[in-house]
Amino acid sequence: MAEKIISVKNLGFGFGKKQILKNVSFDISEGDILAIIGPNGAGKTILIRSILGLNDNYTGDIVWHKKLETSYVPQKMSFEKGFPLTVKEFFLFEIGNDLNFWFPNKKKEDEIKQRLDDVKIGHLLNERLGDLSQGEMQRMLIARSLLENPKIIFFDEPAAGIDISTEETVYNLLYDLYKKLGLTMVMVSHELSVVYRFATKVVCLNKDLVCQGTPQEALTPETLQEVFGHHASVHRHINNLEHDHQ
Amino acid sequence: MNWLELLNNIYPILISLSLGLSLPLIGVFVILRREALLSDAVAHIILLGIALSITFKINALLGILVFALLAGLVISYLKGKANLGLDAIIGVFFTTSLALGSLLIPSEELLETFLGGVENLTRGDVLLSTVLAALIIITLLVKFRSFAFTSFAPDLAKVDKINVKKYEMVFVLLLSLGVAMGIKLVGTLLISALIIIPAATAKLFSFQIRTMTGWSMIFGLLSVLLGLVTTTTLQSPPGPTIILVSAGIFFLTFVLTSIFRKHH
Repeated sequence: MAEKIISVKNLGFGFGKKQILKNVSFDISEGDILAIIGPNGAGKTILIRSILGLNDNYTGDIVWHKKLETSYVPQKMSFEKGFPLTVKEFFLFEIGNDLNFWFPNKKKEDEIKQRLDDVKIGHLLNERLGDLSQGEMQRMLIARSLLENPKIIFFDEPAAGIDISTEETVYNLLYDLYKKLGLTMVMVSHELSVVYRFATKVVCLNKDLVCQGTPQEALTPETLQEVFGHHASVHRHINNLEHDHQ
Repeated sequence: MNWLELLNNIYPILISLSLGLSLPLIGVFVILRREALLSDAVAHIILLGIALSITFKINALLGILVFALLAGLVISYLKGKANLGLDAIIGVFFTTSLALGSLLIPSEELLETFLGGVENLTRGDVLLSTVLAALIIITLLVKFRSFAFTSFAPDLAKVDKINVKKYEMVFVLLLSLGVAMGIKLVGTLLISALIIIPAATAKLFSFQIRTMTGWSMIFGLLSVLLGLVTTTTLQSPPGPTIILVSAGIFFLTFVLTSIFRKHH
């Protein structure tokens, strides 16, 4: 069995009287593609932010069994669109050293260009961050997350706000990277079709932990109804997927 | 020109270099972090420091520095309290210290405290400013990418195991020292303008943060140098003069970049 990397035990989170998460326990093991699904406001983002140490305000335990190079692709970044900062400069925050930031050498520039080419946005090297489209921004953040050879990557809705065809490429891209680099991935998603196709393990949340396991075991019509409520498209969705799998 | 004259001329140049280069560099980060009110907050607290040093007859510079450090600590502490917005904190606490400071400072000195002056700027002040400015400039330029990364994307920096809190505290401290060293010349009301305007001017046309930083410092130096020359010629108070020069450069750049954009 694959080695455990992270254990989440009895995690709870709330503010004021509002309880967002309670009794959430699961493990993340090496090589997992773990999908966290649930409706809006189910606490998916807060869950991965807690695991990443960006939110300390929880109850329960999060244990990292070993130290791993980690990276994070947030759902969105908040910054002033008109601020002068190029993609290259953004990457230089992490690549190379303090001096390289002011005087990047050819080698560093090629390295950045290569990373951008991997996600097919090499032409955006000298664009301002504020001028990127949402899809370009997502790709840029994915390229950035791979800079320092991470072993585990957390994606918060990697295809949010991207049109369907681009979304397809984003997930295919992630899957290729997963196979090529032997990564562990944790992603928040609300796309059930994606979860079925790519995830090795799924955690469904609706305040409580509703289900966990492989998508085929865990995502029964009953659990899906519990997660998403009465949702006409759920049944149709599952039927479609069953056809896909046949 | 004999040595004594040369020495006398070197002080205005030193103070121009110190303030003109370091404050706009701080301004780049202030704009990046969208915390334009921060320098005002520090200036308000320092005003109280000046008031208390006049009341208790302590060295003014000591009062300024102690209260600058105090301001840095108080702001860093309050910023951690998520449910109090920074603008609300400034609206309540720091204007209180402005009010208290204004009452304590004798009326004949009040105008100079607000608008700055050249007369009581001692050689010691200038030398201290030079040292502080060098400290600010070297720290911010050498560790630029970490200060910029933690300001721009604190979450991503934190996941990369960078101590975001540390950079934030050091930045607030450098900002406080910057305000402290400029406050005698430019005055408490106008000091934040010297931090913001040159950086805002550079932002009008810059495409990269590195270019913006370079131009901010050039505009800052120009503002202080031209401002001091005008002050000496017209016998006007230095604070408003420097800021008006700086604002003049801003509007000129604004018009030029607008024309340039239209034609391209």
